[in-house]
Amino acid sequence: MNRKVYIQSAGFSPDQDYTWITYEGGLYKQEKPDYLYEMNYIVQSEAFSVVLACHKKNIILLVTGLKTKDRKDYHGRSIRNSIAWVSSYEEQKKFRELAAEIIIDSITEKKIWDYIDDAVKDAGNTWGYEVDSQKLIDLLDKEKVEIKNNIPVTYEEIRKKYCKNNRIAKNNPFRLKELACELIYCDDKIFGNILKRNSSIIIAVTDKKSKDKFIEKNVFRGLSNLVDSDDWIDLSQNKNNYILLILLLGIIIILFFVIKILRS
Amino acid sequence: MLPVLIAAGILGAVIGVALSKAGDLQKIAKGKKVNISNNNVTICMLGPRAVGKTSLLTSMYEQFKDKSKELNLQLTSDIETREILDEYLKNLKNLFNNSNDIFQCDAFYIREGKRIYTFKLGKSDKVPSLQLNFIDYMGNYLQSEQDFVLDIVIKSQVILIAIDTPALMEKNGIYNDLINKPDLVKNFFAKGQDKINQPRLIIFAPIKCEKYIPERSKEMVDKIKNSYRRLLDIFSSDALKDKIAAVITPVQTLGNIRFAKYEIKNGIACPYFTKTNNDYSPVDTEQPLFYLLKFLLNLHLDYRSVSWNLFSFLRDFFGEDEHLKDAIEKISGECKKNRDGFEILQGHRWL
Repeated sequence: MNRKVYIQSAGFSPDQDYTWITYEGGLYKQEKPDYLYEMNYIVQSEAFSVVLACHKKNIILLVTGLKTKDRKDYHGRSIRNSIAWVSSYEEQKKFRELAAEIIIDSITEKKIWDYIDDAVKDAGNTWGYEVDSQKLIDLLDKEKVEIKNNIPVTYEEIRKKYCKNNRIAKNNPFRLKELACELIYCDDKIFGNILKRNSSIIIAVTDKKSKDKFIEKNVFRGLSNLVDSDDWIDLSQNKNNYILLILLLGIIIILFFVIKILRS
Repeated sequence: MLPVLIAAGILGAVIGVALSKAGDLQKIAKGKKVNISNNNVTICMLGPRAVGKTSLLTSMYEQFKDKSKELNLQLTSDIETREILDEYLKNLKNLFNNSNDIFQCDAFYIREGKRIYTFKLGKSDKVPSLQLNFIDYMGNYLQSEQDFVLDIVIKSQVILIAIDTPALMEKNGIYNDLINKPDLVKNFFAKGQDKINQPRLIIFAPIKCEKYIPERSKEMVDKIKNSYRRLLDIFSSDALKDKIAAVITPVQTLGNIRFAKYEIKNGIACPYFTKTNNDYSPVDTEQPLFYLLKFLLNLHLDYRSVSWNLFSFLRDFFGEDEHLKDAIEKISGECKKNRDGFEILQGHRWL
C-alpha cells in the first residue's frame, strides 16, 4: 500500500500558474499523476469533476475545479484546486467510498471542498502554494458521514437495480446519489470485474463534456450536463439491438434460400 | 433447426459487418466530396498567463457569429465548444454586474493542458466548407511545455499573439517583460524559423486596450513595435520576409471596461478596472478573423506563384464555394487599416 497524493493549484504571481506537485520524503516535487491526460480528456477540468480510474494496477481518484474561498491570483481570478489520490488496486474500496463521499458532498454542504481548501495554502515557494499532504491522505480513512446521512438505500436495493452495462446521464442530484450508492454498495468482486473490463476510466462526473467522449473512452458511468437524458442511457442496449437485428436479417436470408431449395 | 439458426446468425453477422464497413466507406467518400478534412486552418493562440487569450477567443467567436449572419454565412461549432464559450461569455458579461468603482476581473479559464475549439464556416443551410481550429492552452505552457508550443507554432497557419496592453502602456512599460514576455514569444520563432517554409499570418492582438483607443493608438502601435522589435527582425529576415504577413489588430473584448490602476500587493502589480457604462459592448473583436479570411482569399488568388502544402486546399476551395468567396471578399473590405491602432506590419500583398 503506497499512497500518494498530487495537488494542482496556482500562486499569486504571474509566474505561478497552475502546476501539479506532490510531497514525498519531506520535499515538494513538481510531478503530474500518471494517466492525467486520459482522465482530463473526459471531463471539463476547470469545472468540478470527479474521475475514478485504474492504471497499471493502481487506482486513481481525480477531483478537479474545487473553488477556493479566499485564494486569488494577481489578476483577481479565483484559484481552483485539483487533487489526485493514487494507490494500489487493493485499496479500491476506500477509493470508491471517498469518490462517493465527494460526489454527495458536492450536492450538499461542500464540506470536503472546504477541507481540501484548508489543506492548500499560499506560500512563498516556487509554486506559490504549499500542501498538507497528510491531511489529504487522511481523507481516505475518515469516516464517511455524508454518505450515511444522504444515501437512504440498502445493499439489497442497489443490487436489484445494479446494471453491469455502461451508462451515462445528465448530471443531476438524483443520478449523483445513485452513482454514489453504486460506488458504496457494489461489492468488490463485481467492481473488480468492471476494473478488468474497462482497465481505464470507471466513473466520470463533470459539467460540460459531450457524451461521445464517454462512449469513445468506454466509461462505465458518466454524468455530464451535455448528455440530453435525465435518466440513465444504457450504452450496451443499442449495441445489443443492432446484433439482434443482424441475427434476424441472417435468419430471413437463410430461410429464403431454404424455401427456394425446397420448392425446386 | 438449431444449426440452421447458428449458421443464419453467423451469416447475418458477416453481412452486418460488411454493411457497416460499406457505411464507413460511404462516410469517408462523403467526407472527400465536401473536402472538409482538408479545408482546415489551425490557429495558435500565443500568450503568457492571464493576458486574455481565452477572453479574446470568446468575444471573437461571439461577434463574428453575428457578422456571419449578415452575410448569409453560418459559423457552427460542436456542442462542447459552444457551451463552454457561452459560459466564458456569461462570465465576461458578469463583470458589468460589479458594484464597486474599481475591481479586478475574475474569469473562467483553462487550468489544465490544452483545448481545441473547432468552428465550421460556410453558407447558411449548406455543409460548412471551412474548418477553423483554435488551439488554446495554459499560459505557463510557454515556459513548462516549450516543445509542445513550438510544435504548434510551426504547424499553425495563423498565430495570434495576445498582448496585455496595460502592461505595455502603463508605468513606462515596467511590467511588460513580466506579463507579456515578448522575448519568450520571440524564442519560439527564432527556434522554429528554419521550419517555416510556407506563408504564415501573425496577428498581434492588443487586449484590454479600451483606455488607449483612439487617443493613444499611435503610441500603442509604437510600443508594440518596440517591445517585439527582435521578433519583427526575425520576420523581416531574408529567410522569412516573403513568408510572413503580420498585422496589429487591437481588440476591445469588453468595450465599456477600462484599465484604472495598478495596486501593488506582495510586490506584484495587480491590475484594476473601472466601468464606463453598464453594457457589454465589444469593439473590433471580429477583426482578427476578418484578417484571417482575407489572408486565405489573397493566398488563393496568389496561389500560382508558389506551391504551399499547408494551403494546398486553397487551390480549389474557393472555386467550390463561390458564396463563401463572395462573402470573404465583402469581409475583406471591412478590415480596418491605419486607424485605431490597426496597422499592417509586413506582407501587404496578402493583407
